[in-house]
Amino acid sequence: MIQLIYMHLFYGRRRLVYIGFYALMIISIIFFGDVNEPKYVQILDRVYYQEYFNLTMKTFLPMIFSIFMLMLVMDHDQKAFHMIESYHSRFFVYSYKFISYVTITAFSLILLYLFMIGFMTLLTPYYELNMDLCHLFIHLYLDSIILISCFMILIKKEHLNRGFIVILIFLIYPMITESMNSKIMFYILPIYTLEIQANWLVYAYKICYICSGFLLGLLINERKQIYG
Amino acid sequence: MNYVDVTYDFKIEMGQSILISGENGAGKSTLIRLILGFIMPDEGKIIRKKLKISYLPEHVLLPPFIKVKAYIEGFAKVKKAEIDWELIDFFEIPLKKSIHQLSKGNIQKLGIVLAMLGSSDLLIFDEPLSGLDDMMKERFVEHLKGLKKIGQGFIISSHEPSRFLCVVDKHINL
Repeated sequence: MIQLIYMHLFYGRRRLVYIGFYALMIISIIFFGDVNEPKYVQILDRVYYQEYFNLTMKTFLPMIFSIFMLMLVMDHDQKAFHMIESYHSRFFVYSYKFISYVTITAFSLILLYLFMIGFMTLLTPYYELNMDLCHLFIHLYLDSIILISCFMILIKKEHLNRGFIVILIFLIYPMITESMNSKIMFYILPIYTLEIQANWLVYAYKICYICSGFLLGLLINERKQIYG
Repeated sequence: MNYVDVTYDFKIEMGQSILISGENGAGKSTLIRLILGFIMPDEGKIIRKKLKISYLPEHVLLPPFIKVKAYIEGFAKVKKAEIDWELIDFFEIPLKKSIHQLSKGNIQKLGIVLAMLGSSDLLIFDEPLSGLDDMMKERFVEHLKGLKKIGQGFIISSHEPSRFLCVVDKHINL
């Protein structure tokens, strides 16, 4: 089933669009790494450059990756899957779609992380492996799965624009929570903000949130009326 | 959402072949969607066993830019079915082409083959003849006769009921 979903997702020119967008993300990372600055300046201000790069990534990556996720999941409600839904079940198709998206996201993020480490280590003298960005990527992964749940619940073939509304909320939300500095806001929608301190507790909360989102999605999908 | 206001009351036995016909908007596709569980009735209920139903939708929409052969193989894996290459030859499906290069008729034929993959408890075809030429229409009916012989149940919705009267047990005219 996963193979068929991949066929539906990555056919022909669509594959090129994904690769192009992915390449754009990598180029942006290199661009933010200030690789053109003189090497001795980078070595002298090692801590500054490292902190600056981390901060930029923390702001930039959630934004760009959420758009990548939208591109990926936007077309999940394809009519071609109805033929399989009648043969197996809606539960079967929904679960496999979810698993496929989660797997693709994992691979995309791992690759992105490896590219980032590779390029930054090769091109800059200041970059050192640090847990800060590792935590960012774990948050990004969990946030992406939350996004997948939201997209799969809200986006239908005839309502693709809902995806952009989710993305808008996703992008504006951290700004609002930053200014309000309220924990309640984080409990309502636990997406990454710069203020996050207790990582492991937040991961656990996000995983609970993801499980609830998946179950809610299953429930809504079972009761969905399929026309056309 | 009310598409049609019709009352249905009938029972489908295993292995039975049923033809549904009627004018445009009579509710043929709605009835099929009800049987499939895609939509819920406004009143009453549909009691159905957990069946493996192969379904050919009215409009077959498949992803473009994929080779026909690769797609059939992928679909067969999902259905855990063996590919019936004879059936593919029978319907003259161009395996080497990509889906976006296929004509409407060829896409319809591909949809029919995909629906017939695997062992289903029930086959449902919504307007299977749409886009097919006369020869293919005859071949499709001929294949249905074969299916009926082996006790395969199917439901067909069509605007050309006369073609199927010889292969069905029951005719529902809406």
